[in-house]
Amino acid sequence: MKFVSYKEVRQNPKLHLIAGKPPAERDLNVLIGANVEAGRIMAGVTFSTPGNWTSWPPHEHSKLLEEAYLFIDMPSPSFGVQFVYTDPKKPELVQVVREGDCVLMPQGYHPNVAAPGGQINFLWMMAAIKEGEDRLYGVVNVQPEYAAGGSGLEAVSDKK
Amino acid sequence: MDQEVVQNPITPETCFVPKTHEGRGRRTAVAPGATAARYLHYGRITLAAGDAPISFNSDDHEVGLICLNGKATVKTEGQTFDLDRYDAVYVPRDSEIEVNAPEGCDLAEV
Repeated sequence: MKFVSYKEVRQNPKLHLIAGKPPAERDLNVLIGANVEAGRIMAGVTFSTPGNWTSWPPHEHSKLLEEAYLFIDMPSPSFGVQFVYTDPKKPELVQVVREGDCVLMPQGYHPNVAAPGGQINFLWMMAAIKEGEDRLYGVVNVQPEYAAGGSGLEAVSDKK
Repeated sequence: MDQEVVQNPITPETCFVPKTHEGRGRRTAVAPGATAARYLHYGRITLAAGDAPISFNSDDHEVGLICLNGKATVKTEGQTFDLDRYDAVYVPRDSEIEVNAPEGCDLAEV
């Protein structure tokens, strides 16, 4: 077992990152990642700059990890929109999300956006498909048309 | 050769679980079977001030507890941890876990 102090995560550049630039800027914190010896699970919290996108550029990791977002700290009237899609032209899920809602990503790209004036904040939770070997954070496929600048997650990625 | 990975489809019925923050006690929102999850679990442990502690066993999957609000004391396999907001505890399989929160807490259980 292992205890993870949020205060210590905030001071660790391998676990805490201001990712992206406006209008896709967010504060990313890895709580259960490479800092914890585990088989399948990972988790962390992400807080957007008000009105910004997160998980941008869109990425997917469905061969390694399934994921879910739990939306937190979004007091009314804050809301966001969560996308989950394999085909950008015909997204399978476009969902308005508010405090307490949970969206699963069994596959597909999964960017989201905050309504102006409020944040989109979430606990992200992941489970490795193959225990141990697939438990890699930040090893993602960026949606090809947005991939020129990388994933934006390089500083906290487990990619070798 | 790589084994073919079977992926569940993206549907509103299996990929959206609304209002999981509502309720009290320990409850499950995401688990393999009822949702698109194959390995992922998510539930919630919400205790009001004065509620009795909650005990359970992690059984066949690892557990991560993340404190979303309030303060919680987590006891597991002889160790005790005090969780403040966004602190987390990772607990391996087959471990006894007790959550106590005299002033109330709201935890996510992954």
